[in-house]
Amino acid sequence: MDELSVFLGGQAGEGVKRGAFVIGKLFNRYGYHIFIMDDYVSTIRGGQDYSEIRISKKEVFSQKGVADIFFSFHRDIFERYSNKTNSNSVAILDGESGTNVPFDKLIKENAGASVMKPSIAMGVLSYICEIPFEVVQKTLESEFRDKAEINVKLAKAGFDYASKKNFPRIRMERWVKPQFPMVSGNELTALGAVRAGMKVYTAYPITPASTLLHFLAKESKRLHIAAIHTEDEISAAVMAIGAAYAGAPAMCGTSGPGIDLMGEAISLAGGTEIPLVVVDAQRAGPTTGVPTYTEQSDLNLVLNVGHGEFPRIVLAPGTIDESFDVTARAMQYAWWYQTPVFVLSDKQIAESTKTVNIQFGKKYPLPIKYFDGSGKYARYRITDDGISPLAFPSMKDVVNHTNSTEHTEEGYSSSLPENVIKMKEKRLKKAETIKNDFLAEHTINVFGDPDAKDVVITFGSPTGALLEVIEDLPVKLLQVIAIEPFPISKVKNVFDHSERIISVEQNSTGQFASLVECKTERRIDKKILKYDGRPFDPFELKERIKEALV
Amino acid sequence: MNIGTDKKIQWCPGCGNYAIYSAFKNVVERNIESGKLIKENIVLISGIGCHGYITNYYDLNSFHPIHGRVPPLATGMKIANDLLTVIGFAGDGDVYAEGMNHIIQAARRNTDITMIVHDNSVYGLTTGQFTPTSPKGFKGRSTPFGNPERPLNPITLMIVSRGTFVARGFAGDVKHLEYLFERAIFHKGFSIVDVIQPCVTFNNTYDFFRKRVYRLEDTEYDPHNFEKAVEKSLEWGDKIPIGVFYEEDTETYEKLVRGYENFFYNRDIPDITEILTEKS
Repeated sequence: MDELSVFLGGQAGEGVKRGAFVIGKLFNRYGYHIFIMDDYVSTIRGGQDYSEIRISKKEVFSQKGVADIFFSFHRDIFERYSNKTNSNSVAILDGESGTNVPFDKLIKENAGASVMKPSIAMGVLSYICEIPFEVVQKTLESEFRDKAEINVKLAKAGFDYASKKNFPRIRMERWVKPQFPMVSGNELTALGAVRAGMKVYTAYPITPASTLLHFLAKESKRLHIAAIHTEDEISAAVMAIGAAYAGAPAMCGTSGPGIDLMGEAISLAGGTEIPLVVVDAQRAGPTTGVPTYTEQSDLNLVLNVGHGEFPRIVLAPGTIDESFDVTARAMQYAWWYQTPVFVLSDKQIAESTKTVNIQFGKKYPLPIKYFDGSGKYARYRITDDGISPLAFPSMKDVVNHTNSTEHTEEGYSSSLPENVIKMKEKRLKKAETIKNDFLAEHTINVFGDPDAKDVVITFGSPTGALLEVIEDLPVKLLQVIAIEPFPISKVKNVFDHSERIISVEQNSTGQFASLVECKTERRIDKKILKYDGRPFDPFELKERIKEALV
Repeated sequence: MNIGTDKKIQWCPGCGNYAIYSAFKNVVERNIESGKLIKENIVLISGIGCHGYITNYYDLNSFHPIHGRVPPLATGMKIANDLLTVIGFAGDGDVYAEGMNHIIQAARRNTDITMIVHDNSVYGLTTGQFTPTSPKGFKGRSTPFGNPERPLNPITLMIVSRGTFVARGFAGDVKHLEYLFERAIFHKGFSIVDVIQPCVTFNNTYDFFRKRVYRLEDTEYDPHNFEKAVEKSLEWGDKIPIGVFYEEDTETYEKLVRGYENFFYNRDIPDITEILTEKS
């Protein structure tokens, strides 16, 4: 088989997410590309969760949404997601009939714990896929270290059970891909920021941004950074601003509800011209909403959050892979332009896991327009490009007056009308500079047949499923990375060579489509929206695009 | 040495802010001259309110941010560069209303910052509303029939929040303020001086406090006992103590969260290949 989708269904507390990751590791070790999507509810016990582990000879950027093999530790979970199966799917539930496996019984017999059920599934799977058991053993040993023994024992029990019962075989030959890192979008966002010199990360726990904090906290010593869990998102954003003012590149991260709280601090960074990177890993709103599910409904929020007018940049990675480069660039832009920069991801990118083959060694030096020491330092010096030279406390002969009150070039408070105009125009000038500079930046991706007459336009996570969809359809895919400043001329150029325009986004009002229409003065012919919290599956999306093309 | 600027000071004649301004100025100038403070390493932060303009009046690094957020801003600076001497000015509205969460967290963490609170029990710049430290019954513009809330006691609050240097000053005693500011600035850890600072326009309490305050330093009081400090902080009546209520020496937050690095001076880009290899 070139490709296999394995579903692992269980209640919270049965190790589904961790188990899916370890099964992914097994196949990564065996030479395959992996994509893992975790579908889970906001609870610590109970619930009906599943993870899909997609295993493929070629790189895949989304879940498949159809199970070839569906392990479910409880019948109700399998029944709940039976729409994810077809007549070829192999169902493996708790029991002893047919292809079922007595998970509970095997756990008891081997003195294991419920959380180890996925290891039994892994043993069964290795039998089905004809993977030598020693690969399973090695994977479990490297993943569980001192707890490996019991897990290996359980995997062996699963393997033997499947063997004894003559389970059907779906042979997966040893494949040739090198072992790439298996990482989540949040982890790549973290590493991208670090590669660009981030030293301080601040956040308050919130799904689906928490794993960004967890990863940076866990690796803080090796990454030479501070990862700080603050009292709230207000403090997270303000603390990052304080760190940046004092010369340490900083980033804060949250999800939509936290962005609401960060609003005043984002305005503060914009008005005081402080470099600030803000990660918004979106989830389904409004309010608490559907906290563990995905949505792209914060688009208008990040474009507008923070009172008053100030320059901002909004970047949206389209895939897990792109999170690295986009976040590193966000850091660079923030420090050159001294203004807030958003990295807009969502649960589908932030928390899904994938084998990635990207240029981790690429350098992202932080460009800073330093004060050259001549004359008296003025924090808000008027310049041709609207960017004032930067100097930090601790620098000899520098006095840095940063001021949220409208200020003079020297940073002293002033509400005189001529001064108010001067400073507003300075910030407008900076916005203009960003807009012009961005013409030469990597702000869009175009995939597929460049001569196709119809175009699908999207941003963020639907890109993953679309990359697969367009392989079989006569369309090109236009993915917008820079939401602000919007790459008007580049998008218009693609539109000028297109007949029909189809937009794809994950919200209920078509925020992105409206933005594109407003910026390009072109009507979108068909808006494809999805707002059930679940990411687009490639097959489902393909059908909807086909309908739009009729 | 003169750390003043040419900006015209715009406070009401007789405002308690002048006492804070000049006491602080004297302390900082004296200590820069003697080499105990390094001018370029000093950062002042001011909150929102009449006092907020104070950063315009000193030729020192400054950040004038938004209402209530002085403590996290100061904490971020110390995390970035622990050689900085970070001093936050804030009003009672800043730290006991809008940003009360933050001042408690900063105290609890023992962030090595100094907070100077211009506590006048009234919102001056918004023309006279009650604050969390106004007495019950206080008639302000938002409470024409009297403040329905009981006031909070900032000294007790800061002691039980485990602030490691908690003091009260009075704008009518500049010499004593200088003593308190100097002690607070050189205290390693979170220090707060809540300064009773009468607002001559909206809440002139000079006479009330002049009659009542006495210096703890003139008594046998020992500020190193937590329970005694809490008890002392509750004293409020015919006699009102000013001075150091509590002090304690313990490790600072920045040291714990940052390890050995100073991010301002060390901007290395770490190698991530080891982590990636483990992820493979």
